[in-house]
Amino acid sequence: MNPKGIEIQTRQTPDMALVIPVGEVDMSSSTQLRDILMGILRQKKETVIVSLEEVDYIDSSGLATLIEGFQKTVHYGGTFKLIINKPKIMDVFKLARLNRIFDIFESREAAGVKIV
Amino acid sequence: MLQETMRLEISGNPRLSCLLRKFVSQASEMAGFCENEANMITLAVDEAFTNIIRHTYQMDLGKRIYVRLFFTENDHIEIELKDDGPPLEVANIKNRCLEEIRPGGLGVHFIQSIMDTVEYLPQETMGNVVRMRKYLKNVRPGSKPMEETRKNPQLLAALLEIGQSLPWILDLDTLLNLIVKRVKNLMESEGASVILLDEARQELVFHTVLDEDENIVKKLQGLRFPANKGIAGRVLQTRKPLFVRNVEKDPDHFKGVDESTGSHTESLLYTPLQVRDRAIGILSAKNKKDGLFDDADMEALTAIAGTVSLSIDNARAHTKLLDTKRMQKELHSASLMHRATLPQSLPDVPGLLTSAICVPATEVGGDYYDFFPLADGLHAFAIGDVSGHGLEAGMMVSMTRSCLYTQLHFSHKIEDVMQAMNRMVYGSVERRLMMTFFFAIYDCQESVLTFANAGHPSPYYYAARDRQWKLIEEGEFPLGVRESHVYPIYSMQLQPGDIFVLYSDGIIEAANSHRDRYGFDRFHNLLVSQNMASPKEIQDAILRDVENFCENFSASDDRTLMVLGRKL
Repeated sequence: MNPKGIEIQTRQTPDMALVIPVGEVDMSSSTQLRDILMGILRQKKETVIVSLEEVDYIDSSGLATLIEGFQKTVHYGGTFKLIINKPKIMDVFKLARLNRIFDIFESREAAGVKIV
Repeated sequence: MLQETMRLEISGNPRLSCLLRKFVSQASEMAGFCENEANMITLAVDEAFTNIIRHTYQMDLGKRIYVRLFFTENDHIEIELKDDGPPLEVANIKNRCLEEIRPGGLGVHFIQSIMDTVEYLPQETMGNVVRMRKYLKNVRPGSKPMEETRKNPQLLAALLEIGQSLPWILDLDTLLNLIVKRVKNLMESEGASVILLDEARQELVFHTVLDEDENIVKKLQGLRFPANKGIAGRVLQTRKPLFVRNVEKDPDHFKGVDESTGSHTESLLYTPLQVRDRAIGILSAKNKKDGLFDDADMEALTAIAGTVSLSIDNARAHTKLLDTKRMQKELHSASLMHRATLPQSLPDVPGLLTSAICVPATEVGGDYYDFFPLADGLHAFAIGDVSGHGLEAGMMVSMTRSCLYTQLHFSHKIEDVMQAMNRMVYGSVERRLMMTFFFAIYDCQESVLTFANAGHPSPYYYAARDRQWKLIEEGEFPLGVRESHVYPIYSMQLQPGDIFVLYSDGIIEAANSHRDRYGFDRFHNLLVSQNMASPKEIQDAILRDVENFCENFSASDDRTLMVLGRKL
């Protein structure tokens, strides 16, 4: 648990962006995630991947941010992928019935991440 | 048995929610919930907490929230959040409609799906209490039918299994096949079916039928009957479960179904399927194998019906979402097609400098422009805009291009072209579509531009001689408005240095985040500032100015420009 919110790492190539939030994505930190994600979407990257491997908690505002990201990416013809390897994070997606909407992968390899 | 009440008073500040989460998750585990369940309870409480901050306190982060947590070990946990805000209208607290995939509105859905009971209790003068309770699985006291079925462990197990597995099946056919199988086994009946309401036609449809007699399945499956007929109609109207021990004697029995299927119905059990207040169909079991249906059967079927209804609703919502996803992919191909329709290079017209561009909006737009070299030093220019967006508009752009291309092979007389184009748009399948269309022919030898304008935004014309920009307002309504119309034709002699700027309304209508429009004034001023600039420079300056004006606000319409200038 990190009372200071989250830290967000990003890695980018010309056609791909990997966003890695670290910590708890809740009402106070999801705006941070949103800002970074929207900045990336403005560049219309072909593939946008958000990895939740380092996320311990996500709430509805976090999901809302990802839904927005997904919608915007699909809108310009890009691909939006999620990496989820923790059952407790997956449970929240299932509860919102979003697990079949997002393209979800268990690892970076499976998601086709080519950035080291 | 450990019982404990704890209180926590905390500011309604999202940054403090991690403290609340820790408190709730540890108490939940102490009450006997497993880690997964504790995570879920924590999520529900967190959502209730942030809802208060967002909605009741309107982000006033200094206000207090009072948390009361009570648990009985191995039995249940109850959490109350109290605020000092204005009393809520309970009817306004909406569960998220899963039919829409959109950000926001998920919190209440989480709370209600996770917790067993949720009560919103507005206080008399000031403040609200939200009280949530979660029971450990093996002690959850259900509604009355569940209490009854506790006597029958097999039935209870089946009910729990249905409750846990159904909501995850999102394919409607798979889901309903599974449901009828379970119902038939559980009720020990000869048959079971799910009858769905077709709201548009006010008919009931046997969507999924299972029966020991294969012939009955064949005949019933897909059978439709009026939604107000028969016992099924009565169940749908009263929203109450019903069992009929001697069907033939029931005055409401709609014989149409038996007659058309050759089936013989003795006893029936019907329970309505409803989502919130909306009836969506009926779950039924037919002819108990061993005797007649009794009260316990009816209660069990009613207990299943709630889960079945929600699962059907989810599956339908999911299908809609997938359709949306597929549609977005189609739109993407349509937008590629639109781009391919536009010319890839500029024409070479003696004595004339040309420049043109279409910046498509994120959606498929309906802007169009093209050039055609004709015989005898003539060159044709066209620019247009189909009303609306999406596939239809994209298709119309493609049609316009081929229609124009074909027409110019036969005749490039402007009146013929305008008539042909008008007929094409008017006769298009989708009558609501209209199209603005500006068509011009430039005669290189005479330096004369002859044109007709069907509703396209008036071009700007720069007369080098008097150094003035003015709008060329000659023109009429768009194509497709009247079946036949003769569009008037105008001519102008271009002098060296004269410039003609054609544009689509996506330029004028371009909006920024304050919903201000780019507008004619700013456009005019920009043109005036482009002294001695070439068509390409003017085009770039316009696009840049529009983008600066809009900042990062994304374009909702295509922006198309065509600039023609007579060489000096």
